[in-house]
Amino acid sequence: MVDVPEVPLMGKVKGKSGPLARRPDNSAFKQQRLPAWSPMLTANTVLPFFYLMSLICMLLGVWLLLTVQSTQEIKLDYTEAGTCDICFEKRKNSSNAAQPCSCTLVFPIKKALKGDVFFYYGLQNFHQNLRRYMDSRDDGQMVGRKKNLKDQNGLPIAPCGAVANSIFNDSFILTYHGSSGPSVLVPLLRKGIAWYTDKNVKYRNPNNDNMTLVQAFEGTAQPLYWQKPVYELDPLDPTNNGFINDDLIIWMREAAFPNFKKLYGVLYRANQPFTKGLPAGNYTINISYNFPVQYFQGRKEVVLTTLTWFGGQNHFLPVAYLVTSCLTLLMAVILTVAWWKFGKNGKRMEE
Amino acid sequence: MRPTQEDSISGNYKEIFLEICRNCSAVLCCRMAPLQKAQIVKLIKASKEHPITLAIGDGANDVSMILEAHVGIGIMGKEGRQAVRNSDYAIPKFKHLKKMLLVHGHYYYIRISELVQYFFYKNVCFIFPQFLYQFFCGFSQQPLYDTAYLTLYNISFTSLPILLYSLIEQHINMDILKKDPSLYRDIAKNSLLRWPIFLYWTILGVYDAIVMFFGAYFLFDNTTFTSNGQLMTTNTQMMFGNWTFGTLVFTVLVFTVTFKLVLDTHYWTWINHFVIWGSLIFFVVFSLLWGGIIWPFLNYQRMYYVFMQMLSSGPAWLSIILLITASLLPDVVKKVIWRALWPTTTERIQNADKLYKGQLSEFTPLASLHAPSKAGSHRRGSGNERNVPNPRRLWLKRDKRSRTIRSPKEERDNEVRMMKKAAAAVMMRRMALK
Repeated sequence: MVDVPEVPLMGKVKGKSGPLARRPDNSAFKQQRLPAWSPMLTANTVLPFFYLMSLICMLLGVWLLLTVQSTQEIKLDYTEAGTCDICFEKRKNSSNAAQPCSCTLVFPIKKALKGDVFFYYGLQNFHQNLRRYMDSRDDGQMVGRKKNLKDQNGLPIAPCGAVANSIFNDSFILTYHGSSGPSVLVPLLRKGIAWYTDKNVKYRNPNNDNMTLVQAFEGTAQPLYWQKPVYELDPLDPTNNGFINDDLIIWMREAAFPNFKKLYGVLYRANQPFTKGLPAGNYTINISYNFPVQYFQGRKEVVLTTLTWFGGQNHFLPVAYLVTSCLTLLMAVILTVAWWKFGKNGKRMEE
Repeated sequence: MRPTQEDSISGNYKEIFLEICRNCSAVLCCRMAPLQKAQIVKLIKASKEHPITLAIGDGANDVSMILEAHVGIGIMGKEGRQAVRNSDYAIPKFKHLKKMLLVHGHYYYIRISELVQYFFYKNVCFIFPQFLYQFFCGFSQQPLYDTAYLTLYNISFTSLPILLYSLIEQHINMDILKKDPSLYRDIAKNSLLRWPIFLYWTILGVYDAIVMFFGAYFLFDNTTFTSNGQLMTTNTQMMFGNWTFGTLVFTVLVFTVTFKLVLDTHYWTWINHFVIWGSLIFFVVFSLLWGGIIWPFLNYQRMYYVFMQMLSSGPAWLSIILLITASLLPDVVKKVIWRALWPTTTERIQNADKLYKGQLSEFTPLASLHAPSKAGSHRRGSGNERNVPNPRRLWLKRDKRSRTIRSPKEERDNEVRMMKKAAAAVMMRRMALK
């Protein structure tokens, strides 16, 4: 057999013939010889990293813990508390839905809440994350495309869907009874509490350049459980009326879990005595009790809390960081012992 | 050894023959008809452990044997193309079998076993949080992640890294694999796809999923988990909802499974870098785009701005970093401990390669690197540790010290000299003991 003389090895040579004609290219890619870095997870490389990480986690955990400790939270369950159980009984009967009912809740604040104070309403056992509930909304309608309205008894409903229908409609008035002087109404800012993008882009009223909101919503009906139509949610402020009402927007952002809180308002700190937060003393909340919860064995509550950049009273993250730091340190120590005892592999291989 | 009466009547010497063959390291059969070749292969295939058989041949008479064996290799030889046409793999010369088996076969096994295990792992990590979420959403089949994420997870976000891994990965240098056939024992008997390893990957997946889900759960549940922003401007403390929760879990998920592959990759070419970091960047860019505009043709806008809001929150970043770390920690620890206490032959060779930085000379006996570790060596099939001191170890020490480049003839002479010396030393020791 005659050998074809060796052709140059690098690169593809055209026009070969003979037994070497179909030899694959001698390129780095095709011969699997690409330049590469081959790291290895050995004790030498990993141990310093573990120690460093455990230190960082420890520092972070401690810092976060200190940050969280500086927040204060007050929770009040008012489902049946005090005078509210009359309303609770009343709301058991859905034919009373149109009748208002109010009750009061008295509570003390022992230590002043310094800084910005946030007022939340909370629900327990209300599954806003149920699939059919979450599907039951029309984002197209809420963004102002009027032609997406759906039919019910001949008139389309605005806003439609179960999410909007079940909007939380209790309202609260907070009063401060200082040791000196008369009772002062605690001013709460009820606007600007939703996501900027929600308020300004995702939710838009149907086009009403030269019409009032009432005219824009002409030909629609209010949702079944509502007591007033959507264009009367805040008649005094056109930027908070209709679909772009802050309360509605906040409610429409479905919570992830059955026990949740939603923002109701922020303390307005321009005037005395609230310039530094909520002073200590007795407070009264006057609740307009509308939302019935006994159908789903739920509870309602009111939460007052101060926040830091890190959020409210949530001890999970600092504790998790501290735990991770301890575990990492433990692992690092075990690894060091193992590495020391059983030989620094690679140096004492012949043992 | 005589067969029993019935056996000899029916001519059934198969069991005895098989028994004898299994006790030999090599069996030579000559003057075999094609059918008999196939029968031999069948006999071995049916023996007790059902081994994987390989048949190699170059002529038409080898065809039945090639077809019978699990892996049939044909040699393009002088006797025509019959064998090649019926084979699974075709090579031009017999000598190529060595590289094909020891290098390519070994690589493909490593790659495919990692591919299979990783695929199951990443899908367990993907779906288990959704399963856990059902306990909190009233068992109503509410998906945790948005539909776009559900669709694209296996297609775009996590597919390319493992694909490129399974094409390119080289856990040990090719030359070392060629030189030391005993490394093949590490993967013998399908060792990387057995139940213990598969269970390990599955449990790791379940653990990661639990960490991801409950880590995010405790962050969200009943707390005022918000994004930070200045008050009284348009971005006041915002509430996070269901889709933000799902997106947080999904972000941790994508980064965790990709970093798991990062930890498993031993051979980092530019392609690996490109694909891995590219996939992560693609995920981020896609999320930004998907939530960035009000899509005109969609009726639901539930992801609008969710990703950006999540990223603008300090606690979200901290928890992402923590959850990724917590998910990957056990695997890293396991790897390092196993490597330190019970290294496989493969890992020892990797150590040696790193130590000598590729300067292992052509004639360094790698047997000397198979030193049994103190803590025991009962790993994946590599049970060939010898406790007798290897006389050639002396030679390795010498090599380490000198490190000069010698010509092959010099090396060979050296080898012979050292072997004689070592043999003499052993003799002396034996005589001393007597």
